[in-house]
Amino acid sequence: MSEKRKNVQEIIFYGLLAATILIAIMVALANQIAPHDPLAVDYSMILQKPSAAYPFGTDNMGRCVLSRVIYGLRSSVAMALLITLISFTMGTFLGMVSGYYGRVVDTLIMRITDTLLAFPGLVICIAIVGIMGAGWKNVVIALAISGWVEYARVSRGMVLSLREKEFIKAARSSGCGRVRIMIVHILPNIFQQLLVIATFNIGHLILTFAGLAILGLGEQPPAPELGLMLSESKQFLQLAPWLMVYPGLVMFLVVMLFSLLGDCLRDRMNQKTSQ
Amino acid sequence: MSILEVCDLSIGYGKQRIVRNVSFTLKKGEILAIVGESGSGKSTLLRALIGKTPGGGQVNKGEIIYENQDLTSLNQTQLRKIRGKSIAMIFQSPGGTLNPVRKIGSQFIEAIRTHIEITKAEAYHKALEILTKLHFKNATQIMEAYPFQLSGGMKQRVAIALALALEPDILLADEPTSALDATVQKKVIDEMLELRKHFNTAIIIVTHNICLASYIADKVGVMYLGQFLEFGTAEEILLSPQHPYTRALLDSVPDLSQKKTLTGIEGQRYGFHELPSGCSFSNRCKEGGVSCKDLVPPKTVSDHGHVCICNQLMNHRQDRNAKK
Amino acid sequence: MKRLILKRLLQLGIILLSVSVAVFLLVNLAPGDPAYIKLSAQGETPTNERVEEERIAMGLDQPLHIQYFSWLGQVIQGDFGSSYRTDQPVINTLLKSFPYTLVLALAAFIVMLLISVPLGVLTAVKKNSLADYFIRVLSFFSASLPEFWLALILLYLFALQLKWLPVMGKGELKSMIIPAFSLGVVLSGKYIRQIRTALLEELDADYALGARTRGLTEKTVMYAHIMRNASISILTMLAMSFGALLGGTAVIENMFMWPGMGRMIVEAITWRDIPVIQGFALFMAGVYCLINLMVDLSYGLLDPRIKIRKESGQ
Repeated sequence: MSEKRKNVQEIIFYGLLAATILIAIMVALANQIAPHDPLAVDYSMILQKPSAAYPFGTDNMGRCVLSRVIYGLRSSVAMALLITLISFTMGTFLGMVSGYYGRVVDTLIMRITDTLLAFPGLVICIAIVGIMGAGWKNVVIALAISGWVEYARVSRGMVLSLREKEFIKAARSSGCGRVRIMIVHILPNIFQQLLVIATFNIGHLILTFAGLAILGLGEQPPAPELGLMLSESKQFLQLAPWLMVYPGLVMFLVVMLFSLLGDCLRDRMNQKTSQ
Repeated sequence: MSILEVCDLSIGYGKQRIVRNVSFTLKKGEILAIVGESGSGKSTLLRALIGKTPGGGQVNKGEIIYENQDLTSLNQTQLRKIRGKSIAMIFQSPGGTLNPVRKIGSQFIEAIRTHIEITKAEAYHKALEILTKLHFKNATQIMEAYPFQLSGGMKQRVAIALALALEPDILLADEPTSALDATVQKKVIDEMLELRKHFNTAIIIVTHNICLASYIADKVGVMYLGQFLEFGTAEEILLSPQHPYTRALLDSVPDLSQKKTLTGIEGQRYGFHELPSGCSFSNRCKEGGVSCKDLVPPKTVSDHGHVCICNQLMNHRQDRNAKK
Repeated sequence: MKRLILKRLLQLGIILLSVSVAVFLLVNLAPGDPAYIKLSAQGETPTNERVEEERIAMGLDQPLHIQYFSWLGQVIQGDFGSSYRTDQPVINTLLKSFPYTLVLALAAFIVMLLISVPLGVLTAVKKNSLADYFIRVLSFFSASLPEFWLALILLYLFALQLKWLPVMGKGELKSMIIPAFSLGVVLSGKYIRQIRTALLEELDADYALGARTRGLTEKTVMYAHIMRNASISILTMLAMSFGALLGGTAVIENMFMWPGMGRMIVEAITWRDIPVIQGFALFMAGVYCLINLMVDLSYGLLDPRIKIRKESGQ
């Protein structure tokens, strides 16, 4: 690859990283940045077009759409990160155990992943949340239950191939304990690839979270949530299309940001390994 | 009468020149072997002959004369009519030119009907004919088979048969036996020799194996970093090699009849981007002098067409004559 | 081939069995007593005695494994129990709404095919051209689009502004256009890229070069050789996506009041109708696994390398 193209890629990567950090700061400082209280109802300001005071307009209860989008993004991102953290830890742990110990443990864990993979799309989440009841806590549990499988499968596969590598054998023969080998020798080798998966998944989780809210299974009104806002905007589509435009646009951009970031990370990783 | 004439051909990728000033002629029914280490540009040269230089390579200079036309000046449509019909090609991976998910028969029919306007049934018979001529015992079964159902040697033989379906004048073979077992190799090579007898096909075979080259070929070109350092009849090359590189290549081949010490070729060859102005073999040459690196070696052509590109050629000749 | 089918069927059986365990155990996640939930779903104000009676009637006093096996026995016979709310057999509810989801998924699938196959092929054939670059950027956009947002945009444009399409429907063809289109477009973003990759892998294969050296036209090489090789994996990939699509229509269905599985399940959830939720999960998993099994087997039929090896029992 030419130097010039490599430099362009570097610039894009750091640009994306900067954008991610910017969003992180924005949602962390939601209280300071949001111009209004996202829940403050003002019936004198119903369905106002975007203006200087309300950059994204107001909804049917006179609430500031921009403020609601910022808070909504905060809960989406926080939720996605929380779920990723849980599934990442759980999946990687179970996958490594499965791959390293093999036998009964492996069979058991792999049967469980087979079972979870037998449900298409959202079905497993809908069923779990449906029975446990709506609300963000149950959504987190449901998404974590269905989310760890991918990490487990990937890390298991990598452990299986790493296990036969010389440096692991050497570590084992020099008396390294199993736990130590896994944490010190194996984990650093598979971490990057899992991180790429996690980055891709964040966008996907944000969409799923919004989808469940639209189904009435996630956050409940009047909470500022992007999916809920979209769902509510439908009634006012003719009168106030901005209610639909902004939450969707923000979600779209954030999802795209994470999938671009995932692409970049993967390319960088591939370059490193091929060098 | 020569059937193919390559004059001063150079092929480059961007600024790097992978093939440099290569010239040779090929007569009808003649076998030319191009010998060299991997990465010496021999496959690129071979592919350029049918206008299929791999990934972005381009002919910078020179001519490829076939039937009074310069192939480098033809467009892809014109080249396509020559490909397969007049000049055919086979590759290293056994039967790699065969499509894995299509029956061999259908690939024969397709290839034949691309160049001649006949019905499918006629093409089928023509294919059977060729296979029978090439001593395939169960030709009809082979026509119905998929490539994966055949052994490696068999696949390569089928690939050769497919290349010969239209009785081309020239067969280009890119390391046709390198991926095969030794016993199968012999069989495929003998078959290629027989081919030449039957169809009077001229063959250009690219190989890194100088023994194979001398066994099969009438003429041998020794290629190093894109240049023919030496070119001559197989006999001359084998028995009285003139270029130090050719000698080094021959010395690295084990010979069971005499006990001799094998010598490899030491050192790293230049990259295409760091070629010296002088001889490209100078950094590994045992017989060269200090000036070889900067001095452009002259091209010496003997009376009967033996070519050698070396600065020290005159000195060597004198040395050897003196010894005599 | 027969042995392969048997082996796959056995695998499917094992997976479905563990799915049934998981679905059965779901009930135990439910906060509250199923008997209580059932009674209140039927409009009673449950007293302690009534709950106790109902528990015995429902077999909830039995040990867990006995409950499971009697439930499984019924499920195998196609009896998924009856709805707490309507007392109707769950299977009827499922079979009533499934065709709607099937039709919607099929329509979305066709939209996806119509977009991703030609564009995927185009980007591969014209690799690194302006068209390739443009389509790839577009596919990246569409893959990141939330399909429910796209649906709203289309609704705004084509139903409210241009008035070409109905805003809402009750399951007729015209009202399906926007939902199907939204699902299909979003999905196609992903598959354009996958088809391109699959084709590019084959583009420089030896057999393609071989076909070119035989003088075949670039068109023949592309369509009779490269596409033919790549099509097997592409077809499989696309067919697998259909199964996933069946489980991904729920959000769109609810936005557009489409009377499919997704709509039905949300209704069941509001009434905490546990047998329906269980039936839904089990049914969807069964359909999904069955589709994937069929795709898997047809893969063997399409690829002579697998088909013949299997037939000769190698």
